[in-house]
Amino acid sequence: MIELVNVNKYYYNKHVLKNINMDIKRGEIISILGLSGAGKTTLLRVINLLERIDSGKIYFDGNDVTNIPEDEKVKYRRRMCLVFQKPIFFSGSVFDNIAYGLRIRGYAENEIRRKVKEVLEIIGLEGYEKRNVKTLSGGEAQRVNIARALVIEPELLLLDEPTSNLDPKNTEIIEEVIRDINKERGMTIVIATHDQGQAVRLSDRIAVINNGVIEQIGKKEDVIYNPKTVFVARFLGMKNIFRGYLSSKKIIFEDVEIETDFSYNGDVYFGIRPEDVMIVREGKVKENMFKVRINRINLLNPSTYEIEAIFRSHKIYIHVPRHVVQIMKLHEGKYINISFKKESIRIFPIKK
Amino acid sequence: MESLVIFINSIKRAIELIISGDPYVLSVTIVQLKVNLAAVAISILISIPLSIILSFKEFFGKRFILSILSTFMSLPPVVVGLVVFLLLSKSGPLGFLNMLFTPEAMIIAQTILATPIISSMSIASIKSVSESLRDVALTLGANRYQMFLSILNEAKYGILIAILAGYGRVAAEVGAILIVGGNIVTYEGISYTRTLTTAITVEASMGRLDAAIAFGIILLMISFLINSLLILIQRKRL
Repeated sequence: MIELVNVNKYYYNKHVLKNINMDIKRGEIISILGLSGAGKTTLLRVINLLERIDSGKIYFDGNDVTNIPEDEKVKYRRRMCLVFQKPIFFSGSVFDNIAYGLRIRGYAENEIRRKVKEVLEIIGLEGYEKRNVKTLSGGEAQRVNIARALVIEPELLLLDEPTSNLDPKNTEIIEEVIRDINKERGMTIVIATHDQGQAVRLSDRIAVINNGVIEQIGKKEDVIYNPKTVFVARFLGMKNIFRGYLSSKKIIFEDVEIETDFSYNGDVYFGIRPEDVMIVREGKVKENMFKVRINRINLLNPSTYEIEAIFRSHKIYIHVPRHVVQIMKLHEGKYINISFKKESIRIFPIKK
Repeated sequence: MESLVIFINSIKRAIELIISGDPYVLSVTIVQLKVNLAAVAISILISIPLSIILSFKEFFGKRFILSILSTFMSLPPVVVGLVVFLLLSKSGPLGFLNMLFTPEAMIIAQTILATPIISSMSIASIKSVSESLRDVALTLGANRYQMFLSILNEAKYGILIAILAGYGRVAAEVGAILIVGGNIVTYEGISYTRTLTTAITVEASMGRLDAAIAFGIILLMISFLINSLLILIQRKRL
């Protein structure tokens, strides 16, 4: 649907988007995941044709829309809509604000009334038509902000941090709406977010952006379990990342050797997801088993504990189900044996 | 004690003058309103398109124009009067128009005083709205023209306040209109280029306190009206 080819964008001297290559497929939910300042908002603005780019090409359904005149841009812009992170309204009522996009498209008043009513139901704000936008709470304001875009029924919906600064209940409502409109209406959705949990929950594909560079883009399972860079790995929860030397399929790390399947030779970072580290009884497994000391035990969520263990002054994180901690009588200071499969190790070669 | 009696009597007679509809007082008030309103009206006709262009268009020299406008906000009226006087005087470049000492000359001078204020304040108001709402309008599908209209609509209270501020400037002004208007009254005692403000200077210097006070009261009433309007608008905006 949208294709960005080698897009570069500068703000004054700052290179905010660096050689971006990205496609958005019709009907998918794709997350642009990155820290604040990584270039997420600029990327959305570029897609929405609100921003000129310094080099590269933008295609909409195969048509080059990079440098088309303003009135041509309006035509394409009317097929999509960007929901800004901060809800900014025209002064007036909720109705007037949601009706805005329909009015400028020349819809009849009774049609507008019907559509506004419908969209208010979708976002759970029935009967809010006459409310002045200044009286809305933060969560309500953000929902109206989204409703204003939904009512247009865009082919492509661009959401910039739709739930940052919102309470869990409002976040849940908005995430539910995002999933529903994608499933029921086939609306293509791009979400810029810094919340990896949200990206994982909502999207089909994830693009991880760091310092204006897309570090990885792909199916979410791929990005989560096969990260291409240390940044992506860390961002998506691969908390155990260490530096070692790989040769003849073994990583030399401190005074031990770790068995792998990689035939690369040289310095590497290697990582293991905390849920892939197992606590084992001595003698049960032979490969990649190490003795560590438990430093801290934290409840991560109602069903999972995070164990912080120490191995040669390195911190190793292990996620285990709640009952494991009880059955194995784990406590701080206790020595345990941990192990991980060769297949759960990922390496990131360090290029000289 | 005696001066107090004179003062109170003056106020009494001033109120009588206003209520009785004295032709002199009435004519001075009409000239004042006519000149002020015409100057503001012309300023609006210049300022609004100017602010729209300066707010939405990028061109070479824009910053220069903006800085000139904001400098001219504090132009001393006497200087403006002097410049217009020199332009319109018989030997001046526009002397052939024969406009010196006419209400039209006063309108020109006051237009020069009001336009920078109305433009600068309108631009500030449009800018504050535009920064946040421009992209909202565009992403919701507005074309350029619709976006302008939406932003002007949001900025309308700010622009109204700018207009009232411009009016306030010309309503209180003496220096410029005194020089280019000449403060003329006809033989019948009817004002030709005498306004409330210039009348007060003349009457006070001639010792006709009652008339001076009457004009002062009328001027205050006009200011009060403008201020009430301002407050009303600001309250509605909140």
